[in-house]
Amino acid sequence: MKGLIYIDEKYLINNKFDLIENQTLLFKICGKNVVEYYFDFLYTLGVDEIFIVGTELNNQIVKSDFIKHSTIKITALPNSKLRDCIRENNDLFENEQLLVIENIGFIFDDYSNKKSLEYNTKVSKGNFSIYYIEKYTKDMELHLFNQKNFLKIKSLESIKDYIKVTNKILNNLSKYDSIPGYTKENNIVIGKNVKIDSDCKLNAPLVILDNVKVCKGAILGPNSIIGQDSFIHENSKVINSIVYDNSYIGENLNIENKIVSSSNLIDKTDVEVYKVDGIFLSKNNRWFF
Amino acid sequence: MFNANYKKINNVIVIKLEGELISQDCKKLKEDLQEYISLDKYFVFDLENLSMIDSSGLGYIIHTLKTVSPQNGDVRISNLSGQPKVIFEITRVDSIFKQFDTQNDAVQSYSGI
Repeated sequence: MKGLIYIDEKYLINNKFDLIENQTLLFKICGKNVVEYYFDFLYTLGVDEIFIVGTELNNQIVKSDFIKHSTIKITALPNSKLRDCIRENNDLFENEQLLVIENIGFIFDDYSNKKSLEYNTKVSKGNFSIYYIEKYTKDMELHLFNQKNFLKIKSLESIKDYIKVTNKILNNLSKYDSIPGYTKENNIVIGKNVKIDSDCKLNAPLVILDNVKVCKGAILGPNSIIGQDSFIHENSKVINSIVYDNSYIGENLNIENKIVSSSNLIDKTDVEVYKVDGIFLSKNNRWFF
Repeated sequence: MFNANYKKINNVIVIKLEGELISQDCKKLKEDLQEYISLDKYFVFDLENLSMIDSSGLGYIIHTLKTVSPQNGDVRISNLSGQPKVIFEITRVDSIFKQFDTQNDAVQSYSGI
């Protein structure tokens, strides 16, 4: 089976997630790039070659860390619209089983459920679609496929969508094998090389990613994600919040219903963005131990 | 651009802060404050037009409270909103100050003292 990833240029250029991450596909959900979830999905369903449409998209994908360890064959195709691309590369796709991912979204379902794939169907939510083609023949029109709910997906078009997806993951942590973590007991996921000082309280559901340092007296969770390489200083609380990779949370702070990314503090309720002094929170790579 | 306006209503000094209160403004503010603290001990900071505050700005407001408290004085806040409100909340400083929706309410809260 072949996989094809297409993202309309307007989503790559007009980046709704640049408050969190500068490049669209490198923004992370629970510690993994969006495109890494795509690769997981395609690989688990038996795809042996993935086609990436467009130079800009290919450039973003090859920068991802996970790609260095990927054994799947990746082929870049020139920029074009999805339907034109498939038509122009007929020789690559003729008679092949195809799984096509269009635009940016999250796939909630258990990836190993191959029975969910049905003959020539699509599932679409907003601008995000997944097409399954049992056997591609020339001039097949994807937009004419029947809409079926063979997968649970969500389009990612805004920070609000990002919040909804992370909330859903946190509320169903035991279901998601694709969330990176070293331990996964009692709905608390902890990554590698995490250092947690004495007197800290961890409340499920909670995800703490790799290389995080949590100082004494801190309270983390419930409903929180602490991004890779982050530092939570003494006696701070992080509740119902997302601390993005590489963030510093100062001492004695009360971070509730927020997204922290560098010195940006985003209120989850109204998606207002506030700039905050670096003494309280910032992006920093220093380690204090 | 930052501005601080001082006025006295009854026995209360109302300091209306406007713009962005960041580190470079705080030294002058503390100097100006000395003049009032020697004579008065009840203060209201009206933050209606304050768009941004940093750690130094927050430190200045807390410094005011620490200075008047030993004389049984107080500092109260009115019209807290936007980024300053978020800073007060995340640093838990909002629990230290009595807050009011309007300047008038904050000033009136001192009546009878």
